[in-house]
Amino acid sequence: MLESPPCSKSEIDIYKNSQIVIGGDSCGGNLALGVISQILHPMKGLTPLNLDGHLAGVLLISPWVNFGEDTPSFTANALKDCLHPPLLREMVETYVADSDRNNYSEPYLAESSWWQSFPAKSVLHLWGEIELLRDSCAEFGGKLSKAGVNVENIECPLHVHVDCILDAQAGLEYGEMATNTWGWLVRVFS
Amino acid sequence: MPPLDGHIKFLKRCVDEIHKARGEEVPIALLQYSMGSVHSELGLCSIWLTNI
Repeated sequence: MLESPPCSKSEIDIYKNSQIVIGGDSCGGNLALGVISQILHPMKGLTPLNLDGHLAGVLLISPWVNFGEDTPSFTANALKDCLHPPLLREMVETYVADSDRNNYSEPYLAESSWWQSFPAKSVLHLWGEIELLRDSCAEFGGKLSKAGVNVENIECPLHVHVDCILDAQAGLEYGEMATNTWGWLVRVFS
Repeated sequence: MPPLDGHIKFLKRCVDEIHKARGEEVPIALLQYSMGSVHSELGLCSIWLTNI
C-alpha cells in the first residue's frame, strides 16, 4: 500500500489531505493504522508519507489491533463471535512472523504516546460487544483518547466482529455499527 | 471471515449515504485485491476507483 504505483499517487495528489478519509474493517483497520504509524514514525526503508495537513478522518471498524489471546473477551466471546480462535490463530501465523510483531503491525503494542499528533481531524472507532477483539479494541481506543486523538470509541451492543459487513452480506437490517458509520461519514464530509 | 461482497455492499451504502447528504459523488480508492468484486457489485455506481 505504501509502495503504490506512481500513477496512483498522482491521482491521489489531486485531493487535499483534508478531503481524504482512510479506513477499513478488521485487517483493513490494521492496515489503516499501519499507514498512520508510517506517517507518525517513518520506518527506515519505506517511503515516508509526508502530509501537508491532517486527513479528514480515519474509520476503524473492529480493527485487528491485537494478535494475542490474553484478554477476557477472547475467551468469553469464543462461542458468540463470527471469528473462531483457531482461525484467527492461523491468520496471525500467515500474516506476521513473531519477529515482525511491533507497533506498526500490531497497534495494540504501542503506548498511547505513539499516537500523539495523530494526523486526522476525526477518528471513528467501532467494535462489537460480543466479539473476540472487544477488550483489545476498548483498550486501544483508550490509548487514542489518552494521546489526545479526537476519537469516538463506540462499543456496539450485541454486535459481533464487523457486524455491519455481515448485515450487508446477508441482507439483514443494519445496526448501530452501520448507522454510526454513516452519520460520521456525513459529518466528516460536510 | 465475511465474503468480500459484504464489504463492497456496505461500502456502496456508505457512498450512497454521503451522496444523499452532500449531493456530490465521493471518489474512492481501494486495495487492488477488491477490484473484481467492486465492478460486479457496484454496477453503474459512478464512483472513481484506482489501484492504490
